[in-house]
Amino acid sequence: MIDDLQMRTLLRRLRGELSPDERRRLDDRVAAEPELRAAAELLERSWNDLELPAGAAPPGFAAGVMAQISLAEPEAPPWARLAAAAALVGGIALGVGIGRLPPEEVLPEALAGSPAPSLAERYFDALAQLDTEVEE
Amino acid sequence: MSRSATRRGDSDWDLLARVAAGEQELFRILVERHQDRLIALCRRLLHDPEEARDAAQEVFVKAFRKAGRLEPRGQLYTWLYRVAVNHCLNRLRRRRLVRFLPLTRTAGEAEPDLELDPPDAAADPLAELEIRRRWQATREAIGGLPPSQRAVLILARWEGLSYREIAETMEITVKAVESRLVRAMRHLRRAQDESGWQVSRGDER
Repeated sequence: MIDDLQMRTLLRRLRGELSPDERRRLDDRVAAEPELRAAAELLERSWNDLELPAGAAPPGFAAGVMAQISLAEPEAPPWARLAAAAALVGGIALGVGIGRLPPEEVLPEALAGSPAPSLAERYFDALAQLDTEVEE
Repeated sequence: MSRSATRRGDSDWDLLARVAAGEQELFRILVERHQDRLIALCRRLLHDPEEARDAAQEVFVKAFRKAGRLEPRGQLYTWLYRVAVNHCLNRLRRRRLVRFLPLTRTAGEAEPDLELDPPDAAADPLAELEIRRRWQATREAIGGLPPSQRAVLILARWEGLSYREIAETMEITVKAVESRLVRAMRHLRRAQDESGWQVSRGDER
């Protein structure tokens, strides 16, 4: 029985993974040692006897992939993910800040029955106010 | 660059960059370039043409979705191989885990992957019979291998990848590739002996 190291070396020989010098030295040993030669021959036969069907792509395969792709959303590039994460963190921080405002700044709107303006609404209101002030 | 300027000789990475920039239809060229190899790989790993087609399709869709994020390093098909191998290994593991089924089919069960016509054997029924016998024997022998050994064997024997390329594809060391290949070949030798696959003229054991 050949050991794992010998098996590994014979596989390297079979797969063409040896340098020319290594190959020559191993060939000399294989020629000189009947047990190693038998093992090499058997390994080569086992290897060559392995056969599996391949088969080409079925007709319409590429069209099917393209149809799937039309439904798929490309993943955002890393910078876009970072920007989204930063926006989320910023939004949370801002939300926490707003949460710390004195209750009277928020409560009267809620008590009045109208929904509190969102952060975006507040932002655009402030911009509008700024425009008005400039125009005036 | 206009669509009419597209050449079939454009590199995979150039095409992928243009796909990422919005020219989605160019992805078809990439699919047509790699579909046969990728389907053959999935087929040999999964032994099921339908599942192999689905797996290959999913790999291409994944490549499309990641088009804007992939770094142009090495060959694109190496990345496709890596995704395909991992995808198929996950399918094999799921098959084992969920269905509690062996990787080989039971006796009498249909062998859809063996319905293909062998190449260059149509005129010789005996040659065709011999090829089918080898397909069947190989499938049975490989079916008993753990998925990771099966993948290494298939990449080495049928895809013609070097040890280094297999290591890159599977994200393991070259030493691990060799170790898995040795174990796979020992298993196959035992299977070949037990099934009387070939007339032995000597044995390494």
